Amino acid sequence: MCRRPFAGGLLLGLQLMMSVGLLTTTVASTAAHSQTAQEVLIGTDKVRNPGQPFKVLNRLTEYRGGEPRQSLTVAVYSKIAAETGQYRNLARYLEPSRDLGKMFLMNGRFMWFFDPASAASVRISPQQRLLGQASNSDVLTVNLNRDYSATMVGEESIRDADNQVRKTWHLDLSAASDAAVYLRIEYWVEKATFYPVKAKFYADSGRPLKLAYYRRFMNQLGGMRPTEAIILDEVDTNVITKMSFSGYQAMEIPERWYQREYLPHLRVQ
Amino acid sequence: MRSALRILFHVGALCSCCGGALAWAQEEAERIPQGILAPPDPSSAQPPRDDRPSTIYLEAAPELIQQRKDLEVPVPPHASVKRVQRLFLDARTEWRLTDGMAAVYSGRSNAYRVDAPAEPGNNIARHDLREGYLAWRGEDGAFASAGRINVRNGVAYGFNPTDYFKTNAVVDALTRDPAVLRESRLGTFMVKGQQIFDHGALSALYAPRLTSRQSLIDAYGGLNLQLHRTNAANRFLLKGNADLDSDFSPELLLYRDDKATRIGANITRSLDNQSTLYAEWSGGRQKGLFQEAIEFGVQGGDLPGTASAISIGDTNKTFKNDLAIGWTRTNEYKVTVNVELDYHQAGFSEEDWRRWFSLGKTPPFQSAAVRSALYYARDYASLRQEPLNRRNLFLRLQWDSAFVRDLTLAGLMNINPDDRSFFAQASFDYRLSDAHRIRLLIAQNRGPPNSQYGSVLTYRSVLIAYSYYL
Repeated sequence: MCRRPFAGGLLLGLQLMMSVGLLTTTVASTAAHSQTAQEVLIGTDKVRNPGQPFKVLNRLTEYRGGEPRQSLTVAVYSKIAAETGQYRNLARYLEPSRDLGKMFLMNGRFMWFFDPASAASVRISPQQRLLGQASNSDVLTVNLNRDYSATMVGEESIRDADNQVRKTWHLDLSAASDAAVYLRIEYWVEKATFYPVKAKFYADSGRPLKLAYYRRFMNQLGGMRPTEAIILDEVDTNVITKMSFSGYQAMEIPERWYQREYLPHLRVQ
Repeated sequence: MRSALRILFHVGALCSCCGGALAWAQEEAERIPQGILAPPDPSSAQPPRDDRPSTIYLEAAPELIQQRKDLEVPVPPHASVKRVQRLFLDARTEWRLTDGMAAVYSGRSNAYRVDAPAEPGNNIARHDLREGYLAWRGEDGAFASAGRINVRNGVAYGFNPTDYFKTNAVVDALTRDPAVLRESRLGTFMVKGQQIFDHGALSALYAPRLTSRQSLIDAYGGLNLQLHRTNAANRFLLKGNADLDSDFSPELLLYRDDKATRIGANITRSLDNQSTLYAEWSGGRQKGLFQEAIEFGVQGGDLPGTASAISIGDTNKTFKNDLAIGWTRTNEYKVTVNVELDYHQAGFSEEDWRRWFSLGKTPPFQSAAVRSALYYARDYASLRQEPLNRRNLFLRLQWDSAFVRDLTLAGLMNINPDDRSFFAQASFDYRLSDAHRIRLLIAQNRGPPNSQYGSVLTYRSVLIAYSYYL
């Protein structure tokens, strides 16, 4: 696929500037922090991810120019795969009416989408998984430690979504396994609590895809967890998505639910 | 054809190039308006109910069809322009009867009017029962269902060799996009059982013969179940898949009907983050497409017995393969491209095409009955959703959030690589809100008069559809 020369040059220039800046910072801090970066990642994974299978309702509201335009609600069933240590998500659309009954299964690198109107399950690529609003679910339930190698960029004081200053570790994560959906993620973790504060997700081209802020930490399933994420679309910067998580419920989820053949049978209980 | 291909690819290239500007300069958190950060409204905290999921919408879809007058193989006199007005109510709903039992209904009530200059208008009102069945779920992954069920198999996009229940099941095709066609097809009356395991699944079904009628000709109104489309033969299917690794779960199928047995397989595999490869194959003993079509038409009474004297292609029943191999790629600008090679061994070879045109033009065969049989074979392939030509190239491009957030552009092409004729369709789908949607479809058959798509009666069509979700 071609790129317009100007856009391509601008992108390349920005990438180079970022790389140089990153390299400088990394060299200065790697010696002091390389042993702890992965531990920080493990700590923040524990905050985001309940260690047990669970169900949660995820309401996504899309704002354009600050105004709510459309929303959807999905029920998500999450469970860690024993063989990979990674979350698998099975989701069913509950609203709007147009999408009711549609379902998707995210399992490692593959995703199946089921539409009851055509009674068809269609396999889509990991990249497609990154594009839909509902697939933003993976900003919450993803075991970063399993698939990413973390480098400590440094300690930074940043403002969170509510404009509060947080003292954070700034991590740079690079894909370390084929199962990693993003090539690179920047992550900011609050030092005192291991709460995730902010994350920036990149496409394979190096282009930022989305920026997430985590907030409204509440006691859910045995730990303080974010119940809201504000996602800024970096491709269409006019778009912001608010994800609200509610109704956390620990439950036994049979393995067979993560078979694509199960998609037509999933019902929200 | 080259120019159309160029346009299709240029649209794709353009999609990749203008994805939007980057916003580096602004402090990132400051981009979040305060209104978004407000606490959630307690009244909206009530989760939607899922005990009676229903999707109901109303659609109006007028279509203008321009027909060819200069066909190489003539058809009876016809209008150059035809107008079709459609209004339909589409509903899909499910009732949970008990914890393990549900009733499912899916159907469409249609009202049509077909107009052509100097021809009387033709009004049709019809209800299509797509699905109506009882579904039971047991413990430990066992499922059973009985009634009219839409069973769809296959992983390919353009041609699905293993989708054995697709034949003659599509009613009122508003589009040639296979992804959308599946939404307007009738299910088959059957009983079906399925067991889903932790690392695979097995299912079996039986669809009985419920009518002795077999026909491609339809002039039904009212509440007719159109059983001749779905249950004109006894059919069995056994299907299973197993996870061989985390990204590889091949599926095998065994199908049998009153005439033949077929076996099939489906596989998919990720190539990288953006690309997926898929292959779908099916094989079984059958005659050439033309011979099968003529036999079907003569046996069912659509064609006179004299049509059996016409032969094109393989008249013997031999093992023939159907294969679709494709590649799909999505980039970060929400552009998805499918490239698929389809092979239908029973379809027309170049020699078969030469004979088809020769029979249609050369006396003494140049009679209305012969021409009727020749076109019948083409309709047969179309209604069975099988390629007419032996080799076919399928291209599809979809760009979500094209230029504006809620606009989806899609283009598809079916190309005959032998004569370089093609069918192309472009669609513009704009979601005005959660409840309102508007679509524009433009389709065209292009090619020389003695080519596959250059000899299709419909030259061009334009359709506008407005949908309202209740």
